[in-house]
Amino acid sequence: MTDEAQIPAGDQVGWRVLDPDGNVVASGPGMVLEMAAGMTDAPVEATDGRD
Amino acid sequence: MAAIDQTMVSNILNATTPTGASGAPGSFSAVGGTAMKVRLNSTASTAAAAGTELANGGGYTTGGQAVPAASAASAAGSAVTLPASSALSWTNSSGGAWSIVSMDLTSSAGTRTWFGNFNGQPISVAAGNTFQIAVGAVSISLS
Repeated sequence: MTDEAQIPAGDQVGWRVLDPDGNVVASGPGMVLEMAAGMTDAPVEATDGRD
Repeated sequence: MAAIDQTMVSNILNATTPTGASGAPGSFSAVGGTAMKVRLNSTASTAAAAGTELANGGGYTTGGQAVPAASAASAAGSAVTLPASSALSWTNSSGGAWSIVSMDLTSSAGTRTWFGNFNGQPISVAAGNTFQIAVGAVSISLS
């Protein structure tokens, strides 16, 4: 038997802890693991072509 | 939350850059093996090392639990979510409480790939209670 009231309405449950009767005693959102690759412009030394 | 094992970072970088002979891409060490596993830790994992794994026995087996089904493959850069079709579940029969902080996704042989802390950690799981990771609870992406 699941105690639905303990699951926040509208939230995606990521993890939950159940008691031996199957009631949810704790829950929380899932996790997002993301690696973001970035690109930055290297500094360019400006010249006017003259020594 | 960025969370990839540093050895795996180098594996990916070397295979996608001209680190091989004569400017060829370097080789990629395939994770391979059979079903990947999710291991649970009582401390946070880092890029350098996994957290302290829960003790073996009493409902938890060292190395973690095998992911039972294939996740939908990434396409056009989409995220991969797991578990795919059924929750991962551990019932604490150790006699004491578990304190769960993080998880690592590994190969069947224990090679680390992705890791992360659970939201709301530390999660206390009393003796007799069950900890579950719901379907699709973990979303993994590169961008």
